[in-house]
Amino acid sequence: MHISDGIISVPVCLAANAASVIIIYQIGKKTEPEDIPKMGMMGAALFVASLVHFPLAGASIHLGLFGLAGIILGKRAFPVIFTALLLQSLIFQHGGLLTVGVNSINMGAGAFVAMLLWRWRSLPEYVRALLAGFAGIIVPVTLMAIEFQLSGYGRGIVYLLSIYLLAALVESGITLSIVKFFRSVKSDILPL
Amino acid sequence: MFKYFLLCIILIFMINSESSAHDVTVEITKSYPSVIVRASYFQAEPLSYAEVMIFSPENDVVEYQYGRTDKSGYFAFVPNSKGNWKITVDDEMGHAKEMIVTLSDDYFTGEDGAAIVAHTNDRSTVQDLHPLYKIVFGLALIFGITGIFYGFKAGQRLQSKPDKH
Repeated sequence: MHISDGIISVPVCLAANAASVIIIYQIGKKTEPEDIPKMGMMGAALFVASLVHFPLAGASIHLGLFGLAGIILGKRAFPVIFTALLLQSLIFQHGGLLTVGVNSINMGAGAFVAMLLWRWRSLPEYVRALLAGFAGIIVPVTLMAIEFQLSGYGRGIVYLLSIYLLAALVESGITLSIVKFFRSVKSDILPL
Repeated sequence: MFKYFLLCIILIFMINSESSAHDVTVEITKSYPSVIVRASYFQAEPLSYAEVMIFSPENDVVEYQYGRTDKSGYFAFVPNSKGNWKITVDDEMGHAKEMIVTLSDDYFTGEDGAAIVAHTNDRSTVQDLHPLYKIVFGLALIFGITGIFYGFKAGQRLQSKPDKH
């Protein structure tokens, strides 16, 4: 799900990086000190989760936890995702360094949609958790597929989406389990 | 704000600068009938007791010889055929080096002796680390950044709401 360097054109990558820095600055201004430990914890979880790979149908998939980040952190998930992706790129070469902005916007969009779904109060909580977990993967993958198509790498997108459809289903189950766990221990980490 | 931002940037880019502090040099001398390997940091501090594996041209899976450098970073072996010999040196602390030494017929007639045939600086980086160390390294950076950000925001709050006592 991490786009490497050389696929997206350099001006687009630079624009995405600039946009990411502006978003991080705006979110950082509104962040309260009480939110920061949660952000650090979620950053650590994101960093580690995407390093655990599972072989599937000839490809390799990994957890993202972007849906969970959207549920727990809301809009503040973006700086956390950016930091985790930057460190993954620098330490593990997982995704390009120049494309950190593009990748952050893709995955941040997943977290943002997950946040909106979680706030859809008319639905039961378990449905919201499932949908948020699903959106946390499928939204970034859809954006990535569109970007690949626009960059002339159109082939295999349907295959890619079908692989990640399974990953999104697994992720929605994991998100639901974590939400249920937090509820069972009556943790106030989850927003109502 | 700027100084905290700068601190975060320095912390992140320590990934490369800190870890390149251990340049590894491996020198190989052909001295018939043996080949001498010397490994050091900065060509000064020896890689004492580092793990060395020698693979012959015929078999690059099972070692021809296995051992450790001595206190001064030296290791020697006696090759039995011409071809490309693979030599790996690993101090098991994240600094590993692999080299290929080509031995020709001249070596076995003693005409290609006592010459340093390879001398390589390996800028050892965090990429050489075991994945587990990388994960710990990344987590430490994340918590470090969290602490810096927390300190900044808490400081901002203190400035905006001064203590009334």
